[in-house]
Amino acid sequence: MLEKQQLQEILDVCVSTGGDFAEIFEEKKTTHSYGLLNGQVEQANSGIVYGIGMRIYHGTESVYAYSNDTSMDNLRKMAKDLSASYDEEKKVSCKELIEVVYENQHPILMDPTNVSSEEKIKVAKLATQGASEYDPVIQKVMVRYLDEKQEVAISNTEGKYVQDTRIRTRLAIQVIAIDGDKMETGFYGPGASKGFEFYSEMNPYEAGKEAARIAKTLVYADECPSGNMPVIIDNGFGGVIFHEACGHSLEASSVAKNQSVFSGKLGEKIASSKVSAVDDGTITNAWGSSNVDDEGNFTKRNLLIENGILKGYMIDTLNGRRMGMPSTSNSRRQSYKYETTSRMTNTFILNGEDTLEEMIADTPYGLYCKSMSGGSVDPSTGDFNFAVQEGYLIQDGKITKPVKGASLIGNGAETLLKIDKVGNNLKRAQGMCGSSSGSIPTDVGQPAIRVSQMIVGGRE
Amino acid sequence: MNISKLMEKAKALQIDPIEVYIQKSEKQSIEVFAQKVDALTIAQSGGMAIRGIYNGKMGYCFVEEDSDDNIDTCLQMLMENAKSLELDEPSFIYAGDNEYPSVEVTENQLVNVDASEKIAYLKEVESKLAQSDPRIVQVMGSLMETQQVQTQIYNSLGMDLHKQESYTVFYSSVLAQENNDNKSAYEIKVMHSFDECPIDEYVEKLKEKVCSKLNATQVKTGKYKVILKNNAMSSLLGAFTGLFDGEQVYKGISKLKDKMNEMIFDEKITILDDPLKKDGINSTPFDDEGVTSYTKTVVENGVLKLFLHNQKSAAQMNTTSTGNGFKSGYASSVGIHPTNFYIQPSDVSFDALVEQMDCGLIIDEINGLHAGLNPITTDFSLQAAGYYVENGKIVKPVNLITVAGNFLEMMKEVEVVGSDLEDALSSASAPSILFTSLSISGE
Repeated sequence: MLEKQQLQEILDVCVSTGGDFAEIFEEKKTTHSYGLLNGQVEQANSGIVYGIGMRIYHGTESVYAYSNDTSMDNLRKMAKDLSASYDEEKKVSCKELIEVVYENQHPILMDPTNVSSEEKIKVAKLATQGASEYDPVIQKVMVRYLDEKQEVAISNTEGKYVQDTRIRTRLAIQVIAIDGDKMETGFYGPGASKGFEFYSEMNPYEAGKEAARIAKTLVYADECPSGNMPVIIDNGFGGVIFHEACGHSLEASSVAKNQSVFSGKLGEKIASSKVSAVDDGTITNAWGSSNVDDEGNFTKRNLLIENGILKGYMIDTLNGRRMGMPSTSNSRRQSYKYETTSRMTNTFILNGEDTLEEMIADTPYGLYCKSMSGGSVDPSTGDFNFAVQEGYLIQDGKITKPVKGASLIGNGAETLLKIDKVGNNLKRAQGMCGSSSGSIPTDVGQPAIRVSQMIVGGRE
Repeated sequence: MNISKLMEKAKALQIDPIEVYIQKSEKQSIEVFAQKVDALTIAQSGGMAIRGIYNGKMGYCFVEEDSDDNIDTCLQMLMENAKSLELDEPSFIYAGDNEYPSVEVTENQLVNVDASEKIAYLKEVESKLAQSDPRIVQVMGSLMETQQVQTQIYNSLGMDLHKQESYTVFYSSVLAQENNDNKSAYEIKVMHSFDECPIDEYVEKLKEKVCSKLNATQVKTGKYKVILKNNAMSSLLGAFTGLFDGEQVYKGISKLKDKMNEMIFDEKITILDDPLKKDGINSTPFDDEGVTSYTKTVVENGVLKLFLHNQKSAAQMNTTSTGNGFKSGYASSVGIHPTNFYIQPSDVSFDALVEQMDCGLIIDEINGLHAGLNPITTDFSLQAAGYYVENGKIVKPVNLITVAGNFLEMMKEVEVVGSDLEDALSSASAPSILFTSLSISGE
């Protein structure tokens, strides 16, 4: 990694032509992945990502450069080329860089870079075993073990120098169940901002079983009916509804330029009064947590919605300038190859007072979604979609049969107002979220909720 | 990194043969918003992936820091990874071919154009879009990105291949509003010079695209005749190219595994994979293993003729590589990808297709492809938008519906294939196609 003095020199070049602020993001990331098919390792890859990204602010404009060549000669040239975007008198100089010292909020017990590949593969084999022993219909089990150690050093012209190490690991289990002509898949992918200790805290065998259970259920499921109906979405990955229907539209990257349906709506009622939601990057060792965001600001717990009233957005410093609001420490990026911007961390709906049992009993006809796949949204219109992995039909207040192949669609602003029940079984789940600054780990989450009317797209 | 030093050290460690894949790129991206350069990115980046055979297994690793200090670390990672492998699979490093075809490419003049000219172009697009219609309330962004990518493959069997690719993409996105209804749209162009994309034409097209969708309503849930417009059809086809992937076939995951030479689609469907197509987005003289590219028919009049292979999958199935061994990024292992994979067009125009449908839906937007479809079972249910057609005429825009079906079943019930195949921005492309019946969910 570069020395403070070297960074200071480069930062100073960055602001030599009238930029009012500059920042350097230096990153080294070591990754390991193993892919197993039916318990045998078929893929192993590892490597080191390393490079630097530099950014200059000029009011609300920004310019960005990145390279994997971090020799001082190249960095000087890059800073010079980048600063050529402006041609004014120098306004600021880089202050002396002083390291921000803090206590690590996400302690790691076993750094995965010190764990042998045999140990990691053993975990993946245990998950495979859990899946394949579940039922004879489980015929293919694909398990991917991943870990990464990302070391970042963030410095800026205001004299900030902060380092953070983010260690994450995940087990992605995909299972195929086959019975005659019928073939279905099940996925389960637990992860955390933890070291290898994660696998002694969770049970890989049970995780494998869970993926298998989903696949087997779907093999014997009927096609999901289509139409407009009440939908109950259970906890955990069900939270993807809030992530798509609301989360993305509360990111400053869309809000700042008036490109979100929720721009200018602070203090207004945007959701049912049963809904309160937060984005919390501070949760100890959670998948979307870190000590500091990718601008080096300490992560926070930010209230987004309280009893249906919009209370806050997720803001990075550049969009904060556009909005006249401070950063909420939500600036994130996949790597140095992306200019950082406002993104979610761990975003979820808080517990309410209803129960899942009551919700089901209170629904004459509808869909119960036990687990979801991903989705997407257009923040400017709020139109979103997400897919149901494991669904069940509700008839006369009772779950009657599993159904497959459904997508749920709607408009975020309308759907949030139609949440008429919020349960008390909050749980978070792990996902990868893709947007302008790349693919980043985020937690989604919620207790079970009911939406009074939603469009269910099935094949029947 | 000093390649010969790496190869020497590898040999001493009994990693033999060894291959180095290097990718270097230069990028410039400019975004204009509110008549200002809102964001500008310049980058030179690259990475190196190394693979080699150690104890009969193929070990992989990758690195971005271009320093000789990393040679030992890399070789250690490679050996460690090779040792982890358990599946008894053939491993190959290819010595290379004697000759490689040439691909016809239009010179990208925008590589040498000064940033100020690009900014001026983007500003003009932005202001013309903003003035084109009072319902366009914002031009959300106008971006132009030029990238030059250099790829090199060296191996200890003597391969020494280079290629250089360059592209410029441009897009603008707009937000329109009427009666409290919001609609956004964008239009992407691959261009080699400004002349290729006249601003007035572009503005007119994007304006029409967004404004014609305002005040859209839903249609009633039911089965409809559907025209999947070329862009939507291309996205859908692209999501299912794994069906033809040789690795998925020998692993028994592809539903087409036992269907060689059988009728899998309607006889109106012929699919080609053409890596030598002029200006094709994925055109290349060789794949990422250095195997020669050639044009091939994958489906002929509905009959399955070929699976796509890299060297490993070809060996598993006792055949030869089709030159489709590609990485999904420099760091990844070599998988299988189509190049320019397309459904052959007919001579039926889009208008004739609409007339022939008489009553039904045109779907020109589908969303949620990463979640709402199952690439293995080929079932899909996707958020969609488009137009409702009555008596062969478009009568209203439609939004917030889902279209659902099963790709393999749907492709057996093709009514008419259109003629409007366009150059795609991804590997798969298709003309608009009229289908007999798909499930629509709405009101």
